[in-house]
This record gives sequence, structure tokens and C-alpha cells, in this order.
Amino acid sequence: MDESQLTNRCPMCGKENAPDVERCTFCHAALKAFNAEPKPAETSAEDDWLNNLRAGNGLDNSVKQAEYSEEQKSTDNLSQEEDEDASDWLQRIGQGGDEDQLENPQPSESESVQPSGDNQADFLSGLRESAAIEGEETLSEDVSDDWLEKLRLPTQENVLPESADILESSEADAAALFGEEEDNLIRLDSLSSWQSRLSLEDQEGTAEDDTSPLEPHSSAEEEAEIGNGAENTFANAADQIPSESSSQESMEVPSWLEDLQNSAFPAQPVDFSKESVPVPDWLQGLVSEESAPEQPIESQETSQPEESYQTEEDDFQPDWLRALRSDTGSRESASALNEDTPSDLPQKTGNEIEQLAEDTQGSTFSLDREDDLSELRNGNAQEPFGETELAGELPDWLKDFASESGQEGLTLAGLEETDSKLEKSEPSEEMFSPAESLSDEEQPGFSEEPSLILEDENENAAPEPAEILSELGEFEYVPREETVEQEGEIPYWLTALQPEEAEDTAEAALPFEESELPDWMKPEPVHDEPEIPAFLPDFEIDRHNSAIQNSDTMPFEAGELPTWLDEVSEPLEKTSSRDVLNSHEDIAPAELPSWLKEMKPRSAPNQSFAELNVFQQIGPLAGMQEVLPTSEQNRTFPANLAQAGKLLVSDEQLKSAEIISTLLDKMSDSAKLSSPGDIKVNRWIKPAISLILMLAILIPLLSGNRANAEPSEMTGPGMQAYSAVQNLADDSPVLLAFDFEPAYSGELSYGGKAMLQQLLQKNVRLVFVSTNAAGPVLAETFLQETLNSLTPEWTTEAVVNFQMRNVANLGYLAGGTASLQEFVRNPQQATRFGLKAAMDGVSTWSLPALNNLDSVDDYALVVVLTDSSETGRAWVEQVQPHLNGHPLIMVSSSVAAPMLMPYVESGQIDGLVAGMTGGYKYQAKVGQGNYHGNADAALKAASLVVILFLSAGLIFFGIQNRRSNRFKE
Amino acid sequence: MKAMKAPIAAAIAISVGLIILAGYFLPFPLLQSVRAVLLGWAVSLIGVGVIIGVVNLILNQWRSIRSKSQPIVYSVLLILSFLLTLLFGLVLTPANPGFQRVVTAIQIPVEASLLASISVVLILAGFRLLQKKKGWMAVVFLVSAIVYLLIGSGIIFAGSVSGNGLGAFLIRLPIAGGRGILLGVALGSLVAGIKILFGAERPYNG
Repeated sequence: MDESQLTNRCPMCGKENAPDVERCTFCHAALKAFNAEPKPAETSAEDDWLNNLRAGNGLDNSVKQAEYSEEQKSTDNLSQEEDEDASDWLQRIGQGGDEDQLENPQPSESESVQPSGDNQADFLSGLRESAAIEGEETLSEDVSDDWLEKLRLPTQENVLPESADILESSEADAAALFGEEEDNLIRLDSLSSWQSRLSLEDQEGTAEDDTSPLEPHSSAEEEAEIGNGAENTFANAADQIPSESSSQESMEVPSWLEDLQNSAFPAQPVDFSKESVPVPDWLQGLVSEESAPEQPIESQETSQPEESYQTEEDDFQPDWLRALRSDTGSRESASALNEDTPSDLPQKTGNEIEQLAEDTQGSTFSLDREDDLSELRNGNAQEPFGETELAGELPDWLKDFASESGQEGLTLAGLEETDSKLEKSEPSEEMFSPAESLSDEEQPGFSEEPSLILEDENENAAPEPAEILSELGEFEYVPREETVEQEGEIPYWLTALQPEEAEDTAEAALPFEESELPDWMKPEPVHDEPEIPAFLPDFEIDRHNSAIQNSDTMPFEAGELPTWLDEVSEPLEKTSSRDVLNSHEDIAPAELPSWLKEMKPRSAPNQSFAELNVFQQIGPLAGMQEVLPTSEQNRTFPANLAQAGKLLVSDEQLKSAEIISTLLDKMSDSAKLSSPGDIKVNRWIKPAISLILMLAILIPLLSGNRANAEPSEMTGPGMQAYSAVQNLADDSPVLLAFDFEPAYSGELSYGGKAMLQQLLQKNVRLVFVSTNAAGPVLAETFLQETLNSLTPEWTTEAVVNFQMRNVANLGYLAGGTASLQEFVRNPQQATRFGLKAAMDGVSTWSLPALNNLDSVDDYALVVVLTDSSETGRAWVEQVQPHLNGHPLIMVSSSVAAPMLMPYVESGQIDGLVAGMTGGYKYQAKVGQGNYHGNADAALKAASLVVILFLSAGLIFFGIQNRRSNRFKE
Repeated sequence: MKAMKAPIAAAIAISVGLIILAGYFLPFPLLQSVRAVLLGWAVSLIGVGVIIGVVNLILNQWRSIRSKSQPIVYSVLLILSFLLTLLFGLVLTPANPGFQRVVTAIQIPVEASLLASISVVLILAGFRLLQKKKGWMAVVFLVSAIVYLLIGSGIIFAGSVSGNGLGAFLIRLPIAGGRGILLGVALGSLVAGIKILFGAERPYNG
């Protein structure tokens, strides 16, 4: 059993894991593919020949090879057709080895014993023998000095297994690096075919466990030719092994085989200065930096077999690979061997891949590569090529292969090409149908050999095996996931190639600084450009597009853009809606018409109400902000707005509005509140005036007896009235009209009672009439009071008789002064019901006082007691014309006297007793004892007080006004 | 309907006015008879108007009581006074001396007191006249009031004034002013009558 299986060591990271885990706990690599126990027959066959190598049984292998070759002679005839194919690749190997030997004549330690050609033959034969003869101890000295010695001597026994594992792990990474997965698979298939035959032979033959991968190629003739030289040997071997490999297989030499073959060559230090092939700078830098043992490995670049092999494989290689090889020449092999010095790998792969990307446009493979290359440029290559696309399209056996081998970096394109090549190799598969019996798990063991190593092995510059193994031992597989997590921008297959020197960090492994990286390898800032939603308007989309175009992340410069793209992009910028809106060049500014300018507000640009800190002052919205303040808005209207309003309002309406405005102003003036001083004055001045007036009236009334005082002589209208009454004949009808309000009864009582007393003394008939409702009652009152005043002279019986015979109260004339005309024309109709008719039940017009009084002109005298000039004027205008010369005298108030005086002077009124003063005089004229001197004195005192107040106001405020006028002046 | 009423009312108003006016100047018996009938209708309508006014006054006060928008005390007093006066007047008749005391004992003192209050207000207004109305007219008004108070109260010119003196001038001055006012009133009444007769003024349209 393998040691790694016992300890469950990860073949990738080399760390030990628990025995039961299937994946490495450190690198998550699949442990089963390498450590799981294979099928007994297969693993035994594989392990045996490896153990042979590991155990240092080179000599045994040679013996076994000889024996095995003999046994195979019987079976060679069965596979002659395959030998034809196998001869080709064997020839290349032989040529390569021969050429290497020619170019590197320095023999190795083993070559000092045997020529190199023999070494190769021994190597092959030894392998065959080790695969054919299991456990055979016979070992010839002739073959013990083969190339296996070179492997065995420097590395000792414990080196080979580790190097084998590392080779297995590095194969996938190297294949992924150069996109040769398909080639590897093809070679794997070819190997599996002959390996399967080995297993078949193992089953059929004596060998049970030990299997050799190179079992059928050896023959006696072949071995003989091998000793003559590699070239001839391989050429002959190709011809003489018809049953082994086909021509197709010969083209598809497994890489591990080439690697082993090259490793068998002695390490030859190479002087780069002597190399004809130009060495790139990065490689030279590596050479200068690397230690001396690495130089021989790099010297293997110049390998003619590589070129020959390449030319034959052109049909299966993509263009980019051809270009890679053509450009770099034999440098590929050296770089492949320098996988243990991967510091130069990113740089190299970057340059090459970039060139390849340009060269391989159009091909299906290159398309995938371009994608990968773009990912590589962007540093976003987190997954191997086409990994996600691989699952659904891979065949089952390939899936198993991929999953178990940990070779996850297979690209879809690579697999497609692999499939195509497999289809081409179907005849060989049919021919070697036993190969199908091999399980898939065996295949990775061979397929994981790096093909580039095989190619390099064909070169002449073979390094020391110890150095190779030591260098290979330094190469460790970097798990993909960790690489992705740590470096992110570099795919895992690149990081796998990157050296990890035990405890050193990646920085120590990098041979160059980041500044030395090419521009496209430098990590570019990732611009997370948001996706532009489709629902955005055009100008938003244009803005995003313009922003993208202006950004530094554009992969192409303006000069690199094709012309047609410029033609497309330029109109897009010009026709964007935003640009159209921003460009005012084509839009001529319009001129506002004059009438529109007039309507335009002239105020400053409006500020928001919040800025103005305006609050609604009145109304239900008072205190609220952002409410239309009417007062502020009114200010924004132009001054000529009133002129516009004039168009709708006529001049008359404006005048009416002015009148209303004036009235409202007056109302507002009158509504003004009085000042506190005025209020205080009004509080005490009114009572003061009332008190003074009362005192002025009461003091004359209460002081002394002025009954005997002589009034002034009555003259004028009073005297005419007195004369008119005096001239009445006895029992003459006198019409007394009591047309005054009760309020004026006190003023009119003096002249009225005096005149009524005079009439009683004349024994006339008295007819009372009134246009006022209270007039008839006032007439009765005046009569009663006058009769009472005549009490001493007139007895009660005389009074009653007088009232029954000489007095008639017609009552109230409905309709006021308007009824005077009717009363004049038809007194009986106008005064149908007298005052006492309802009470006494006697018809008014049946009274004796009204006998022969059918009209107004029947009255000898008409006396009108009135307090207003209008009533007096009505009597003068409506009745006086119908009196037929009978006198009309009036007793009036002082207020109505001036208005009745004109009628007195015109003769329409025959006498007038005006006011209290005229009453006092008339009273005194009628009877001296009737004069009320105290009342006359009280009237004069009150009038004097009023005059004093008016005079005081006139003087005080007159002076105040004069001062104010002077102050203003 | 309203358009039809307007010319009819105008025609009636104009025709009645012309008939009354013609009755003043033309001594035709028929015209006088028609004039008397029309005047009788006018007096009766005026009496009906007084009744309508009294009813309207009572209803307004009643509405004020129900609406309670104003103090109801005065409205209640008015309605009660009206009802009591009406009741006493219908029962006792206005010729009853007791009912006549309603006028002599209530109406005359009340109205006389109102006149006394007016006199005090007028005195105060005359005192502050120059404070409110500045100008020569106010001064003239106050001086005229003072002078004619002196003349009316008998303080000066207590006797008859004759001749062409200042006293006679001052006494005739108000008579002259009164006459001018009466003439103006007469002219105004004449113009208003003529405008009504010719239909220029139609106060009856309401």
C-alpha cells in the first residue's frame, strides 16, 4: 500500500488527514482519487510498477523487462496494427532522446556506464518487464544501469512516490494552463488503451499484480535497436511493434512518459548565453535569480523533437497553441519544467495568452479562451474554464474522471476537442477493446502526468533527476478554493502553478513586483456600474451611457473605436433629450407681447411663505403657515391693475363707490371710541348740566311770590289774538283745534288756558277738534282746568250748564292734516262720532253747541293750538281759505312761532301767542291775577343757564381752536 | 303682472291728483263731489294704515319675545300697555275722565320729561360744538342760539320791538328766515306734486 494511503496524506498539499475523510481538510482536494483503495487488480498493477521504481529495483525491472518482452512476443502478433501507430510516437521519443544526446554530449553518471540510447531502451524495457513480471527478482546488470538508476540514485527510495504524486497533481494544472486538457485526455485515452491491454495481459499472463505502463512495446528486436541509439531504436521499435500503439497513439505520447523520459537524461547545465533561442526577459530574470540547479531544467527549451511533435499535432492543436509554440519556440518546455519556479508563470502566461487571444480569434476554442483571457485580464478568473458548463455535457466516465482526479479545470472546449479526438481514435479503441476493461480510476493515474514535462523530456537537456524531483517536490498543489479566496483575481490553476515555499507567503514567491506587471495584468478598479432600468426615461439612459463613455473604465480609447461606432455614438449624444433641453442655440428666444409684459408681475421673485415667515393673520386659518396670505399677494399685483379694472366699471359706478367709501369713512370716524378723558367728562357734565338747570328753575319757583309782578306789555300777534277773541260776539261758535302733543301742554297751557278763559268769559260755543289722537283729551283737560280756574266766579251748575250747552268735542280727525280738507268741506262727515258720543250715547251733531255749524266758515273764530309750524301751516293752507274772513289765531310753541310769524305778517293768521313768554303776557292780559311770575322767572333763569353754558363752550373751545391753529401755523 | 300694475297705478295716481288739483281751482259741483269722495277714501285709508301700523308694532314685539334675541321686558310692557289701554278704552270710552287721566297723568309727564332730557343734551352739544365742528358756522350757530335765547326768554327785548333798530332786526331775522324756508317748502311741495302728476316720481310703486 501507498504510504499516503496509510496516513491519508493529501497528494495536493501534502498534509496529513484523518483516515476516513474523503477530502483534504486543508485544501479540500479529493483524497479518494489518490488515496482511496482502487480495485485490487488495477491498483496492484499500478502500485507494483511504481513500487518497483520506488524500491530502486531498476535492475529487477530490467530483468523483468527482458522476461516480459519475451512473453510478449507471443502476443505481439495480435497487436501489429497498434504497433504501427505506436511506432510513430516512439520514434519521436527516440529522436528526441537521440537529439538530446547529440546536443548534450555530457554524459550523466549512468551514462558513463552505458550510452544514452541504451538507457532509453532500458527504461522502456524495464518498464515493460516490471509490468509484465511481478515480483521477479532477477535483475541483469546490463539493464540496471538504465535511466532508472538516475532516478534512483539521487532521490533514494522515498523521493519517487512523492514526486509521482506531485507530478500527478501538477499535470492537471499545467494542462489547464496551456489549454492542453484535450491533448491530455487523448493521450490518456491512448494510454488507457494500452494500459488496459496490460491489465488484460496481466489477467491472461503470469503476472498478476505488477503492471507496467509500457508493457507491449518491447521486443527483442526493439531492445537491440535501442542499444544503437535512441533514434534508430525508436524508429525500429516503431516498425517492429505492430501490435502495440497505433500511429495515433504515437502522436499522443503521455506527458508523464515524456517527463520520465526526460528525467532519465542526465542533467546538463545550460549556458543561456550560448542558446540560439532567444530567452525572454522574464525568463532571464528568473535565470539570474534562480539557483544553478534550475538552469539545466530551463535549458531544455531548445528541443527539436518538440517541434517535430508539434508539427504532427497541429491538426489537433488549436491555433493559439500553435502560435504559442511558434512564438516561444522551445521556451514552452522550459517553462513547463519551470513550473516549480512559477514566479515567472503569470508574466509568461499573460503575455502569451494575450498574444494567443489575438491570434486565435474566430475559433471555437479561442472563443472560450478569449473569455477566459478576459477574465484573466480582469482578474476575475475565479473558476476554471468552462467548469460550470461542463457538468451537463461531459460523459459519465469523464465526469468521474474529472471529479476523482481533481482536475476540475477542464474547459468545455477542451472537452469537445477531446471528444472529437476520441472519435477519431475510435478504431484504435475498437482494436484495443480490452482497454475498456480498465476502470476509469486508473486513467487519472496516467493522465495526470503533465504533458509539457513529457515534451520537455524529449529535449536533449535533461536535468539531474534529483534536481528535477527536488524541484518537483517543491511544487505543491494549491487548492482552488483557497486560491480563489485569497487571491481572487487569479484562477486557481494559475495559483497552483505559483510556488508556495513552505512557510513563505505569496509575496516571497512572486519574483516580480506588481509594478512590473503588464498593464493588462494589473488589477483594474472594478466599477460597479448599476444596471440601467428599462423604465427610465430617455435622458436618464443617455446620462448613464454618457457617464459610462466618459469613465476611465472603458476598455477602448476613442481612437480605437471603429468609425461606425463613432457614427452611432455621436448622434446619440446630440439627440439625447437632456442635450436638446440644455442646448438653446437652435431655439430663438421669444419676445413677450406688450400686453403680456404688462400682466407679468413686476415684483421680485417670489419667495416661499416659509422663507418670508408669513402666517395667516386673520380668519379661521389664522396662525397657519404656508397659507395664502391675501395681504402679501396683493402687493405682487402691478400698479396698473386698477386701470385694467377701470375697463369694467363705469364712471357712475366709481362715483357711487367713492360715496360709499366716504360714508364708510364717516361711519368709521363716528365709531371711534371716545378717549378716556371724554368718557370722564361725559360722566359728570350731563348730571351737572341737569343739576344746574333744575336749580335754575326751582330757585325762581321757590323764591318769593311774583304773582303781582307786572309782565311786559303784550304787543304784536299776541295782542291781535287777544283782540280777535275780544271781538267775538256772545254765543259765537269758536272752533278750537288742539293739535299739539301732550309734551308741549306745559308750554301751550299758559296762552291756551288764558285764551280759553277769555272765551268762557265771552260765553261763546266751543267746538273742540284735533288732528291728533290726544287732542280731544287735552281739550277736555284744558277746559276742565280753565273752568276750575273760574270756580269762584263760576259755580258748578254754571259750569255743567255751560258744558252741556256751549261745549262740543268732535274728537279726533282720522288722517291727520289730510282730513282737514274733508273737515272743511263736510265737518259732520269728517267728525261723525264725537268724543262723548259713545259714552253719553248722544249723537255729537245733535249737541246744541253745534247747531247751525255745517261748515268751517260757520265758526266765528278758529283758534289753533299747535306746537309745530307744519300743523299751523296746514291749518293756514287748508282751513283758513275756507273761513270766509273769520279770524284764525294760533297759540304755538316758541319753536313753531318763527315759522308761523310769516303767516301772521301775511294776515293769514290773525294773532299768535308764541311760547311761554307770549302765554304769560296773554295770561296777564286776560286777568292780572293769572300771571305766574315765578314761572316766568324760572324760565329766564333756565334760559340764562343755557346761555352761560353755550357761551362757555364757545369761549373755551374757540380759544383752544385758535391755539391749535396757531400751533399748526 | 307687475309690469301691468305699474301703468295702472300711475294712471290712477295721476288722475286722482289732477282731479283734486282741479277741485281747488274749478268750482264744478261734480268735480267737488268727486274730490270729496276721493279725499274721504284717502282719510279712511290713512286710518286703516294706522291700524296696520299698530298691529305691526304688536307683532314685532311678540316676535322679539319669542326669539329672545333682545330683552323682553320692554316688549312685554308695550304689549301689556297696549292691551290694557285698548281694553280700558273699549270699556270706558275716551270720554271717561278716568281714562283721560291716562293721557294727562302718564303721557304728558313722560313726553315732557323727554323734552327736558333733550334740552340737557342740546345744552351739552352746544357747549362742545366748537370741539367737534370747527369753523365760523359753528360760532354763528352758537351766537344765534345765545342771542335768541336772550330774546326768547325775555331777558332782552322783552317788549315790542319796532322800527329799524337792532332789536327789530333781530326779531324779524328769524321771521325772514322762516319765510324763506316756507317758500322753499312750498316750492318743493309744488314740484313734487307736479312730478307725481306727470309720472316722473312714482312713490306708489313701492
